Parts: sequence; structure tokens; C-alpha cells
Amino acid sequence: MNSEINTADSQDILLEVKGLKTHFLLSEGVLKAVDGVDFTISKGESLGLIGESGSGKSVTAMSLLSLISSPGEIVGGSINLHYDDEKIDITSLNPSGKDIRKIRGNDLAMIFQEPMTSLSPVHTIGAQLEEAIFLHRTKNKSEARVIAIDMLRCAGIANPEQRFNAYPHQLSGGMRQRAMIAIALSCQPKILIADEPTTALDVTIQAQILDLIKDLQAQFNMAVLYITHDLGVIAEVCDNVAVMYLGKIVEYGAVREIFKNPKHPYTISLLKSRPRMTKRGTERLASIEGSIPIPIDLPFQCRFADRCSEVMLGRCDIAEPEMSQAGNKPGNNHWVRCFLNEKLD
Amino acid sequence: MTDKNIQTNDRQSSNSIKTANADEADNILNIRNLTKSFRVKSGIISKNEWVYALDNISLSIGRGETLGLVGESGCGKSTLGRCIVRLYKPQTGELEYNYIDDDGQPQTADLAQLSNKQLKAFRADIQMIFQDPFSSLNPRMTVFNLISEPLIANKITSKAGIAKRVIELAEMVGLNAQHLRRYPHAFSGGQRQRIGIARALATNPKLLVADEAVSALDVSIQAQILNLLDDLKINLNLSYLFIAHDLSVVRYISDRVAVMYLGRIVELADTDELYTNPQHPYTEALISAVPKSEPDDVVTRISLNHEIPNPSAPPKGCHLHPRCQYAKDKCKTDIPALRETKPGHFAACHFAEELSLIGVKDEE
Repeated sequence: MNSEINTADSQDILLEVKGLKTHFLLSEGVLKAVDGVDFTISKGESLGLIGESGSGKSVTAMSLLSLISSPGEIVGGSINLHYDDEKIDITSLNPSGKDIRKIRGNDLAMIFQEPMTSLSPVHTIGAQLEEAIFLHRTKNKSEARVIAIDMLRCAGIANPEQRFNAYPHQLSGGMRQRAMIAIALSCQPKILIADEPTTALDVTIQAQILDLIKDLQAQFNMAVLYITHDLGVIAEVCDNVAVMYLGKIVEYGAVREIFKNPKHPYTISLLKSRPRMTKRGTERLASIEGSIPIPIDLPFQCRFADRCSEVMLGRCDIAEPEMSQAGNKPGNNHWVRCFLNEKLD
Repeated sequence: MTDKNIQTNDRQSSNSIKTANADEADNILNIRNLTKSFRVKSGIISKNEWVYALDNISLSIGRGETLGLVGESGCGKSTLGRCIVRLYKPQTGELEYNYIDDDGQPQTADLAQLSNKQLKAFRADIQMIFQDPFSSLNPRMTVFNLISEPLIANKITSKAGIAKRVIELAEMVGLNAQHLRRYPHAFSGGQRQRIGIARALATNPKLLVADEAVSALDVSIQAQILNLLDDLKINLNLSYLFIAHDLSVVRYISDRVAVMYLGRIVELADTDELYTNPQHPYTEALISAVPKSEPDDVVTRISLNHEIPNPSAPPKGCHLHPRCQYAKDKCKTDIPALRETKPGHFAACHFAEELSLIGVKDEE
């Protein structure tokens, strides 16, 4: 469909997601949290996946690691992880099998929003770090300790030898997030999935953590998938951005292009609705009417049609738009899912 | 309402800092030297530790003004909000509330010293909007009951008038009559926040304390609620204390902004002045830490060293000195007073005039 969305040569591709569908079978009906998502991540790339709560961005991330539990299920599509000489389709692996466990933490690692709830409160930071290292890197205890302390230092934790024996509750929020980054990076993954990594942190700490991830990304030549609802984070750290709405990507492109020249009415209103640091609060904010619906029994139409200010009756409410290239410039890697864009061509 | 006349103003305000250009009696609330500390029990044998959540705070909120209050978590901004609505009783200091009584005469009361019984008459005037619309609404009450509860508790409307008033309030915040029979779980975050706002407005308040009222909301919904708060302020002649950690939201909604750090106000100025021309190193660092709003923006990041210190053992002198890149010896020993460095601009830094700090550059 739109497998052309490539940012680089196919050699550089690390992860290729095609037509991913993750549905939840509820008593009320089938909740289509992710309903046909395509994107690729290349070596060293920072891709931002942005959307409001309920858009399916976190479910997409969990699907990448095959961490969807009942009643959820990956019902379609493929997630291909590229190695030098082979590809592995994560959706074809048993979600609790040996093969996927080799990938989780080793090739694909994840950091979460709330470090207090995602770290174990009854194990020391060191023990949690060593667990990952034992699984994937070495069986030697003293060697694992050296790697662990080294990782803590990399993550900007002062006195790593002491912190190694600390429990999560003894650390501040920023320190915990650093510890979690150390755990995630301890096996030098190819791709780091950062699900709202700074949402729970103060703005001063957020800046430090984003800088840290950027530095480590360069150091380990790692790709990062940022999942966030904060456009500022996207502007700050991402190369490319995919805007998600109701289980589908509605716009994709380079960050500069999307911020300067957004095409989808949803992206446009999202950008307009944020208050700005650099602007006097004299103008009224543009807001999007209504709120994101629950994706059960959605009518066959553009998913944004009910909230869209540009809706074309007779067009948007009878069919669903496909991804189409924005602008006629060749090599312009900007894609949008909107009939308005098709009309202009 | 006659209870309100229990205290009249015979105080000398000589020792207080003037924090507004307007005459103090015109402000809806004058906070003077407010202190609130909490005991942190640290064991049976060891001594009690005290956390000074509010350390000698002086601040005014003008009539019809939106005062923004920003700071990192743990700086005491929520404690200040809760003292103002008197969920907490401050240890010392004054909360001078100016109001017009039933006879149309201006009156003054010190809320900090009133007993719970005496406070009853003022509860309706100062209301609070909470952060989390998921935990601040009783899941077992319908929206109708949620909004009518404050009307009944404060005996504001006659029994017959309640239904009419509830519908009026619901429409004011953008809900319709059909919503009233439903329970909170049937609503999205933005709509729940509207219910919370309707509850706060039920008692015809004069001052609203909004504690992170939009932080839990998505950006498009956040814009709806910010616009709603703006409209209500004008239509109902409200004043706001807007507590938030998001500096762009505060820039948008506030007339003046106060910056707090470890229980003290470190800077206070008109919004545009504070953002474009900060006078305190902490404000500068806060502003510079905000992610840029466009990919091409150039941001000079001024990072604070270390993290926020343990509030039960704050550094001596200026609380910021271990993290401040401009700190000198004086900062380690002397507490800087909040002083007027320019007309209407207050900063608590020994070197406010000497430093040339970087603020935001306004776009055209």
C-alpha cells in the first residue's frame, strides 16, 4: 500500500512495520487500537510517534515487542526486524517463546513513562541491571558488575558504585529514569523504544534526560522510537515524525517539513492548539472540537471526519483515504492520509 | 453571610513586601509572610525533621487577575494553593481576603487565622479545580449530583432552584442536559475536567485556585479547557491562581507569574517581562529547559547542576546556590530577599542587576 515510505536505502533499515493490526476482543465489540500501521526505522534514526491518548501509539510500541496480552491480539501485518543476512518477523514468533525473549532487551529495548512502577521495588538497581546482562551478554558475575556500573556511569548517575546497591525508592524521579535507561541500554540494543520517557519528569530534568538519550544514541549508534504526545519533545529530538490518529498514521515526514508545512487537518490543528513559550497569550488557542472516539464499530469513513473543520461531505464520510504523497517534488518523503491532498493533485 | 464581619482590618502592613502596583485593598487576596511546614517523622529516637513547604511567602492576587505559579515538583506550589483554600492551616502569616459584604461595603478578613466554623462563610468564595479529573470525582454520583452537591452543602439555592442552576452551570462549561444523568466513567478526561470546573463554579466563587488543571489533558483538549477558563474569567469576573509546571501554558493564561523554588518565591513579574527578561538564574534555567516549539528554534540550554535538594535540609543562604552557575560566596551564607529590581519586577537574587540572563525571544 504505502511501503514506499522509506527514509533510506533498504540496507539501512532496521525495522519494517507493515499493515500492523492489533485488536482487542471485548464484550462490547472489537476495539481496533492499531488498525493498519506502516513505518520503517533506519540505523541511527530518531522517529517520533505522536498522537493523543487513545490514538494507539502505546499499543503500537507494545506490539513491536510482542507484549500484547489477552484480550488483545496482533491480528494482521508484519514486524520485520532486519539483521545482516536475515529478517525475523516478530509477529510470527510465539509471544512467550525463547526466540522473542532473545530479541527483547537485546535488539529491541524499551523505557517507560513511570520509572517507579516499571522498576521492581524489591530488587536493587544493580540486580535489575545484571539480570539483563546475564541474559544477553555474559554469565560471569564480576564482569556483569563491571558492565552494570559502567552503564550507570554512562547514564549520568553520580557514584555508580553506591547506586548499584540502591533500591528504586531511594532515588529521585530523574535518577530512576536514568537507571531505567541504563537497564535498557545495558545490552546495546539496535532500537530503543521510549514510551513517554519524560512525561512524568520536571522540565529541567526532562531536558537532561532528552540530552542523555541523544548522547547515548550517538555513542551506541542506536535508533530511537519516541512515543509522545508532546510536540516539543518531537521538535527537540526527532528526525522524522509519524502522526497517529485512531489506530492509523495520518501523516508522516521529516520533522521540519511537518512543523513548517503540515498537510493533514489533524496535524494542523494539533500544531495550532499548543500554547507557545515564545508568544504572548493574546490570541485565542485553536482547539479541536469533541474528543477522540473509542475505536469500536467505526463507520467506514475518514477517521477524523467528525472533528475535521475541512470535512467534505460526500467524500470524507463515505470512504477512507489512503496515504498519498504530499507535494509533487520527487524525493519529498512527506505522506498524508487525506482526501484534500488527493484533490489537489 | 454576616459571619464575615468577625475580623476587620486594623493591621499595619509595614513589614510586608508590596508585591503589586495597585493599592493593596484592591487586591482580592494579599498573602503576607505565610509559612507552612510539615513534620517528617524520622523514627522513635531521632528528632523530628521539618520541611518548610512555604517559607515566608508574600504575594498578592489582583481582582480579575490570573496569577501563574510555576516551579519544579516539591517546591511548595500546591501547598500554597491548599493554604489559600484553607485545606491546610498555615502556621504563621496572613491571608488577607478583601470582599464586598451584603451591604456593599468593602471588608477584609484574615483567612489564615479563622477557625473551621468561621471559615464556612468564605468557603464558597474561594474554590479549587483539581488536576486529576479521574480521581477527584466520586464515581458513584451522577453528574447532576456532583454539580448540585456544593449547592446543597453551601445552602446556595433553594431546593426548587437546584435543577435550574445545575443545568445553567452545565451549559456554562459546555456540557448539555443529557450528560447530567450519566456517571463520571462515561466521560473523557476533558469532559470530566469540565464537570470539575462546574462544581467549582457552583458556589459563585470570586477566586479560583487551579492546581495543574490542564496537565492531565491532551494538547487539543487542553486548548479547549484553557479557552473555557479564559471565557469564564471574563464572564463571571473571576480571579485565578493558576498553578502549573508547564511554562508555555502559564505564559498563555497568566497576567503575572511567580516562580517558586524550595518554599520561596524567587521571582515575580508581568508574564511577558518575566519570560523575555528573567532576573533570577532559576527562572532562566527553567525557561531554557522547555523543549523548543519549532525544530529550527535555537535554544541555549542553561542547565542546573544536580537535582532539587532534599527539602527537609535545604542549602543555607540562597537555596539555589549549589545548582547555580553564577553563585558566589555571598550566596552560600546570605538569604536573598525578594526585592523590586525594576518597577513591577521582583527577584530574590543578590546579583539580579549584574547578571544578564537569557529569556525567550518572542516571535513576531
